[in-house]
Amino acid sequence: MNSAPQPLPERPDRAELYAGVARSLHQGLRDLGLDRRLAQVADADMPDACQRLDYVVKLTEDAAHRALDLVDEGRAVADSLGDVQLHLRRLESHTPVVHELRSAGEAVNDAETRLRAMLTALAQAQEYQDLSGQVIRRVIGLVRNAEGALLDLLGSGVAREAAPVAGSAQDALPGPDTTGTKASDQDDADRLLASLGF
Amino acid sequence: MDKNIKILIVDDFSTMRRIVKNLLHDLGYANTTEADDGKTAWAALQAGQQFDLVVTDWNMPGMTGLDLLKNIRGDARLAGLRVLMVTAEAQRDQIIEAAKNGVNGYIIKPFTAATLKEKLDKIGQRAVGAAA
Repeated sequence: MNSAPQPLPERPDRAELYAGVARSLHQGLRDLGLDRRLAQVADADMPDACQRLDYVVKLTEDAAHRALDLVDEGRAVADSLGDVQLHLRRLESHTPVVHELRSAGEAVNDAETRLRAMLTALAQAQEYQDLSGQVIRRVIGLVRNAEGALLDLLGSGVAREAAPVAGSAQDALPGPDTTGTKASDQDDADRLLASLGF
Repeated sequence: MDKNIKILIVDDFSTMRRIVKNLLHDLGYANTTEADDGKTAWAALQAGQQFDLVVTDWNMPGMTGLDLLKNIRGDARLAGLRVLMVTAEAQRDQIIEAAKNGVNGYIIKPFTAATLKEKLDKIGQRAVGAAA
């Protein structure tokens, strides 16, 4: 109980310590036959995964633009329905069937209104591309970082510029909430801003 | 809000720029210009292009929407410029930070045309109130 405190072992140099740990970890991986597999993962599988994810972003982007092109075309159709109504109105003074003509005009008007609402909803629905794209870019960044770390560990990695897709200010941002738990929805945001005097 | 106002739409996703532009046009705001990140937007503002409203994303490479907002609020020449943030960033402290830096409205993605209209109307009312 009253033995003198043991002198602390001399603190090894930190870099040396890490190098030692890395060496034994590397040796352990080699003994287990894992080093080749991990090298395969870092050298080929991870870049391949990133490439596939890039492809998904590109694909959804093209699809969303295609949908928005169709929205633009739909708008032109809605405009022409407006023109039809003008024509029908002009014909009213030239026909004995005014009543029928008016109800036809109302039907066209109704169709135009519904079409415009659909086009708005269609454009709005394309927001998924921005949100999914943000999430996928983030995952690509994570995979690139893991790839760089793995290559460093395996010693094959001259720490290649781990080209993170996002800048540092961007990395720090939480981005779209994928858990559905932490983030605010529009009502929460409105209440919060109202409490701040907005 | 006056439908003739000049609006700068800032987002790094071309699809989102197009959607915002689309919805704004639906609401009768046809005078829009686009920028693909804060840097480009800031350059346009510094070059003397006149805008009444900036609708900006937050998370963008180059310059984030928050930095763009800070720059705008730090420039006396842009004192009257209103900024509406449209972003997926939805954490409480982020919303507070944007408010502290003088944002005029905050919309969380995904959003609806109705939300966009409501926020624009609110910003318009306040601008009228401030001018009165």
